[in-house]
Amino acid sequence: MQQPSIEGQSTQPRVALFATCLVDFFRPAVGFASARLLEAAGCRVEVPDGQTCCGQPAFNSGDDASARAIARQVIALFASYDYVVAPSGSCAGMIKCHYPKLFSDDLDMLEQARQLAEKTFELTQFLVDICSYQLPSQQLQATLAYHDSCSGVREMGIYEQPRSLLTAISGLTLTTPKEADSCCGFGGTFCVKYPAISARLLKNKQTALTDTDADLISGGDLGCLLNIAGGLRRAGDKTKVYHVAELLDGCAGQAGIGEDKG
Amino acid sequence: MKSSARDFSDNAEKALLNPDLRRALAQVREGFVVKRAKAFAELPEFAALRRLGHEIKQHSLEHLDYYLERYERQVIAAGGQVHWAQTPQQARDIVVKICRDSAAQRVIKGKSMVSEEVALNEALEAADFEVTETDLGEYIIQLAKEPPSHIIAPAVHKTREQVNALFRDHHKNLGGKRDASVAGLVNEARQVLRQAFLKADVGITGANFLIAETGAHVLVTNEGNGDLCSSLPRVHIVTASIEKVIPNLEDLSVLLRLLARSATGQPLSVYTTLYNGPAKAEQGAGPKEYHVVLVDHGRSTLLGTEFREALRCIRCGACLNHCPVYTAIGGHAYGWVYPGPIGAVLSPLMLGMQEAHDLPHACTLNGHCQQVCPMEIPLPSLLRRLRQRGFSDRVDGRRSRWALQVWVILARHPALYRFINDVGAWMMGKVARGGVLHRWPMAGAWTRYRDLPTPEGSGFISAWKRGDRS
Amino acid sequence: MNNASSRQAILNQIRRSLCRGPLPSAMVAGLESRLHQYRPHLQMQRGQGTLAELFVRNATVVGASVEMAASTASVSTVISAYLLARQWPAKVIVSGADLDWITGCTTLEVEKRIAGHGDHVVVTGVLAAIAETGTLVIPGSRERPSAALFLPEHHIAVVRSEQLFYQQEEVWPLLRAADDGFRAVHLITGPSKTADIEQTLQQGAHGPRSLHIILVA
Repeated sequence: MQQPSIEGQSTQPRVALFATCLVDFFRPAVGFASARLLEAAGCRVEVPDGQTCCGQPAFNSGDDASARAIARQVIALFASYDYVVAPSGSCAGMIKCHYPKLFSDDLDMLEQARQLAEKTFELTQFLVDICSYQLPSQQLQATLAYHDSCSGVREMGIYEQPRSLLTAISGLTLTTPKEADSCCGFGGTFCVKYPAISARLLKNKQTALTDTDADLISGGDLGCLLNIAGGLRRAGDKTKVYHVAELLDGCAGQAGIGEDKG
Repeated sequence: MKSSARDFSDNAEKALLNPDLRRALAQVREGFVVKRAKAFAELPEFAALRRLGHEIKQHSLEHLDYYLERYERQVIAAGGQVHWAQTPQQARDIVVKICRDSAAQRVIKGKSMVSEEVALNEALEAADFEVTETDLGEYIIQLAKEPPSHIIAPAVHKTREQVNALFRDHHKNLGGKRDASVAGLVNEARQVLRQAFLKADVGITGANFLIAETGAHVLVTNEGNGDLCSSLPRVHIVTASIEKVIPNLEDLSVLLRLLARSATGQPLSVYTTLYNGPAKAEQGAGPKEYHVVLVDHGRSTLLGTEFREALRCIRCGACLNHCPVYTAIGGHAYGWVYPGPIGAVLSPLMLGMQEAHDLPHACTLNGHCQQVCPMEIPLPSLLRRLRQRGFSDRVDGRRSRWALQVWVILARHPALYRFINDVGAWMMGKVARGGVLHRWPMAGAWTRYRDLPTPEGSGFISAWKRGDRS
Repeated sequence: MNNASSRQAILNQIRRSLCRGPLPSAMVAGLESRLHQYRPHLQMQRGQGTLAELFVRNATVVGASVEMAASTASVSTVISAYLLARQWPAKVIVSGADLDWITGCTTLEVEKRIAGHGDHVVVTGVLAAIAETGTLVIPGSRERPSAALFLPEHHIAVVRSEQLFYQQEEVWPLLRAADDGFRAVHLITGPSKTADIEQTLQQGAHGPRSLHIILVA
């Protein structure tokens, strides 16, 4: 990490929460939980309201012109913050790994994209690597199967961070599902372009997760979690699914993803 | 081989419904993947070898003209002949002519992907040669009249029962009670193919590497069939694509350490042989004619494009074994010679975007292929670039383009986006019962297979702006 | 289109793609010197143990069997005991000039000729053996053409301890030093196998069903 740890800094860093389009639409609870965690870790959190999406759907569909237009908008929106944090390995990965590639022919924009890339982090990565955040002691008697998103693991190198935070919750046991490093079948637009193939991948993932007999399923990317929760519910499985931010924030008592609020 | 890549979606859906295929593919996941992981866990030099392998192949490609010419000189010095084929048609014509000129009748073949690529068997059969594939997997699919479904395990989609049925149909002359166990079937093939080896006039094999230093080609197999093809007939023909050439033996050692481990988890394949020219009198028995057919088929052009990194591929098959899509649908759905991630890159480039535009999209961009590729080929980036090409050539579906453009307009207008987002979340929240929707307009592709978790009811950004904090 | 014009067209297109013409002589000299730099790119880490122990371990991993013989004089008796234990006929074909010193004994018939189809056991020497991967290096020769290594049902290889090397690159100088060159140099790592049916590993696909290595101290 190039950034110094924020511990010991005199002023609170100004952190923009990039909520992501899926959290905005489906699961505001993840946004609130993320904001609380960041504040607890000593940040001044803002949620710029000009944010929409990182542009990944356009980028992954081969529409680079549109992806570039959206990226310019995101770069301008977040330029003035000390850090940008997203509760998603995929969206943070888009900014960190792919934005600079979009501007390889435009030196000025390339520099701006690089600056944004350097200060953009996934939530758990930011809490652990930058804030050295220690979760306040809490208790949750449960077994948890954790799903690492592909972009989180492979683009962002996120693996230890959520685990190190979760192990601070006493009573919580982490299990590793079989073929933990394989894709759940979400893949952004892939899941609606090739629904039958996506469904087979989801079925494999569901089987691996439920075979662990875990009470809870969690992960760091809402896309995967909506897919997994949707698959479980269709199969009549009531295993609770939460975004990792919700678990860390102690919200495991509330309705999980795809669960009736009653 | 004729392509059916155009029908990818239909092919894939059919493949998903095939229970035998599903059983066979489960073995790919458990077999190859686990063995590869174990092999590299025991090799502390893996990362360093990968870097070196990448550099060696990259260096070879950047000086491809030089190394090919040097290789050619060495082959000629060893008494061999080198033929250059720009197109599949030229490659077929060259091989057919060599066989005719040597008055051959029977041709035996070792596994060669480039010979599949140029559809060599069809041409030889059309010219009335008796062609026998001798790699067990290739032999099985030859009997079944099917293309390979995996780069290194061509018959991986076939069950033991299917192989037994094929053998009963084609080995009627063997008589007696046959053993349908795997051991029995392997033995039976050994017995049948041994006769083919002993009678053949021409042996055709591929090459894993061509060595510019010595003019040798390197052949890697586990069964030993490739070596019998290379040693028994009086004429030996090697089909190799131009990117196989590397500088010297020390370079070879690096690549060999990566190849077998990536493919099957072996430290080295059972038989790795360096062949140099025909057998001269003082060298003893062996083919008296040695021909190398160098096949281009667009590679020299590819070298100048943003897809050149695909030319580093050493055909180990690791990207297939680790691809969740490949292991769900198998190789045939991809519709041409090369399946899986590397196939999804090569097929559109060799067959044209129109023919294979689906393939680059049939990927979740999960990145596992790149993570395991011993040559560090950035497969997801290459697939994305092909999507770009497809998008600018307008070969992808009109409906998905339209949907994407609507979404782009929204994403670029935050106020409008916010309004639609919040209304949508509110509406879906109202309609839903029990936390999920079983159906929703325009989300049919999602809800056909899984429920759609319901939005909580109001957008996060707007709620935050209103001052909500939970 | 003839061969020369195809050749030229391919080379021209490669150069166009690389945005240059034929390489200038200074570059060629550089490439030639790289090509003749016979240094391994990497020294492979050695595990614990002597060269012989490492070879035995790695050859066993790939499915070969290895046993030790105290001296060349005892090789015949070691072979005959091996055949007897398997209840195989007490006869072998010895192929290759390098095993001239092997002679039969009361319990072993030795026939010196090129082995072929129908022969049960072939005995050969090696040029070298590589401990890193448990690999034998056997060039074809007039007395031991490639087919003699692949057609018999079983293969026994005799390796002398001074023929052991650790990593693969150490063997390349031996090949470069050979006077008239070899048509074929076989690197053999275990017995012939296939997993083409249901990924079930089966020994003896087309080549020898077993590989037994006698390591002479």
